[in-house]
Amino acid sequence: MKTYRWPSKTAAGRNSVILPRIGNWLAPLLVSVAMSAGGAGAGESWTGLLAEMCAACHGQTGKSPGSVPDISELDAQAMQAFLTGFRDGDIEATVMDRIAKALSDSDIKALSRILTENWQLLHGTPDEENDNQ
Amino acid sequence: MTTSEYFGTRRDLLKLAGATAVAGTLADHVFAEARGSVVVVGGGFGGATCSRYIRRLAPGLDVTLVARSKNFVTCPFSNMVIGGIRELASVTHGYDGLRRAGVTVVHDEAVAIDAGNNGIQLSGGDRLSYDRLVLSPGIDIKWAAIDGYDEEAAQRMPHAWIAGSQTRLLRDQLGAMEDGGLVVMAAPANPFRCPPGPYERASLIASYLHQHKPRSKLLILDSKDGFSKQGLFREGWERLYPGLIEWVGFSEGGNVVAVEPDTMTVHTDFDTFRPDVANIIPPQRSARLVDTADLAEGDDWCSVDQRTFESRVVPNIHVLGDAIIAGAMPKSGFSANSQAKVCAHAIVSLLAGEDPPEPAFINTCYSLLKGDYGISVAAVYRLDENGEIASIPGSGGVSPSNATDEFRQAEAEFAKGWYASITADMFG
Ligand SMILES: Cc1cc2nc3c(=O)[nH]c(=O)nc-3n(C[C@H](O)[C@H](O)[C@H](O)COP(=O)(O)OP(=O)(O)OC[C@H]3O[C@@H](n4cnc5c(N)ncnc54)[C@H](O)[C@@H]3O)c2cc1C
Repeated sequence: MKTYRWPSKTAAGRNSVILPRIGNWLAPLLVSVAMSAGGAGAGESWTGLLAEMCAACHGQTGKSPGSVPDISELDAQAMQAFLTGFRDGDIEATVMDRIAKALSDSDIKALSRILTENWQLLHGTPDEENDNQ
Repeated sequence: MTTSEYFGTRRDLLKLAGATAVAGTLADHVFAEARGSVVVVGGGFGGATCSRYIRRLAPGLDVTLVARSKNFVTCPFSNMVIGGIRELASVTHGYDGLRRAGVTVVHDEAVAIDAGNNGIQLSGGDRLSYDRLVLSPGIDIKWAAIDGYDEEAAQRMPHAWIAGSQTRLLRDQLGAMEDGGLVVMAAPANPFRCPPGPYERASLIASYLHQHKPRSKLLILDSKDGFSKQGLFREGWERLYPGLIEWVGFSEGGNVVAVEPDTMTVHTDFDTFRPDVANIIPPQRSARLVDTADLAEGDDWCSVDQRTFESRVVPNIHVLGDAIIAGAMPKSGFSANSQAKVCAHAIVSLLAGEDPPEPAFINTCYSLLKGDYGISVAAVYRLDENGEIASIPGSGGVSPSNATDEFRQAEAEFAKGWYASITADMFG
């Protein structure tokens, strides 16, 4: 059992006008979710392209220019916890619950890894930032 | 190649591609070595997304986007313009972001596909040649499918189903209407662009009337017996605009068969109406450009391999978006955006001599019933055993009924967030 916080940037940043209003559905400020340790399996194959689909709402780096929650700061574990929680009904959502129901444990694991790796590349890891200086 | 190879070698490939080529344009798998020309026709949801993603994946490819005009007006959120809660300028987008992404944008009209020679003729006289051609040209209206409804009639009885001047016309007609007037909307049979679109529009017209012309009425004459998110729309109409909207389904005589624009007359099988404003949403078909290569084979919509979006009729031509039948996916901007990404991956893979990755698709269609009242339908798709796009059992579906105001408000906020995100995903 692990405890996650919604990334502070999201709560404090541009979403703050909306998040308090939507309260329970989208900003579980403190979420406890049982982690599943499912390994990569059949789910691997389609998750690469599935990861591309998230940008339509969450932006290409996990940061929407609009009101969709900023997920760019989540690490793979937290992402996995959110998706699992949405799917299993442990975290309330408006639409992510319906979407996450399409995912197996291994899908969630693969998707979380791919998304967070992609975004890390975009933001640049600390090493890469140093290289550029 | 396994998926982990396809998606797992990014870091090396990024280095290969050179830091500047990929700065700000992340690639999962950069096909740095891919060379060739891709021509994309249609600067809307499918075309803008596809050209941007191809450049992101394969910076070495020449990508030319043929877009009819300097600006693209989105149909999504144009209903808010009609309902008077948004300006047309806020749903209008330019192509500078695509140019910055390395896409060559040509403002012209494609007039003929010369498939035998891998070329496409533009109305300005230029001819472009391609290794792969992508068409996301959207819809054309089937003129005269409703007797009397032609291009001239649309100036009197706007369809507003291709956004722009038609949107403005309908909004202005509603603005000029007296309180107590009758608005008639004709809604088409399936399949058509944006299944929930007519009912979102009806809601936002009602929102305008309710506020400014409360004695008016809106009558929806429908050529079908049920519609997308019906329960949620009707629940919302009852709550927000009781008595204002009346819906007449096909079996109750809702099928509009003829119009007379000169006398503002609308005929169904059984009845005749004389509305003050008539919004006729007629049957549609794939944009006529596809006929120049017979891609629809006399049908209304094109048929494609749903893994690559390559035409089943002519090789090296990919068709996506509203112009095709895409298995279980509805004709939506989100669907077109989703298909465009799958198509971009397929094309760069094919040009690099690799197998295309396994497709995945998402669609979420938000509808606003009022500025702060939103509902949605969502689905996740993958290919079934027959290679058809199928939604994943047990997932997706519509927003809950009888939800709280806060929930509807949250969905309205996310609708706006979605619009900001997807237009940024397309246009940069
Ligand atoms: C009122 C309304 C509301 C909607 N709301 C939503 C919504 O909320 N969410 C959603 O997901 N979808 C929505 N849609 C649906 C969405 O607009 C379409 O599904 C989407 O635009 C399809 O994308 P496309 O690329 O196929 O076509 P388009 O986006 O229409 O792009 C096609 C482009 O190709 C151009 N073109 C055609 N032929 C040629 C040629 N020969 N040469 C050059 N250019 C050409 C056209 O002019 C156009 O610019 C709505 C539609 C309507 C009508």
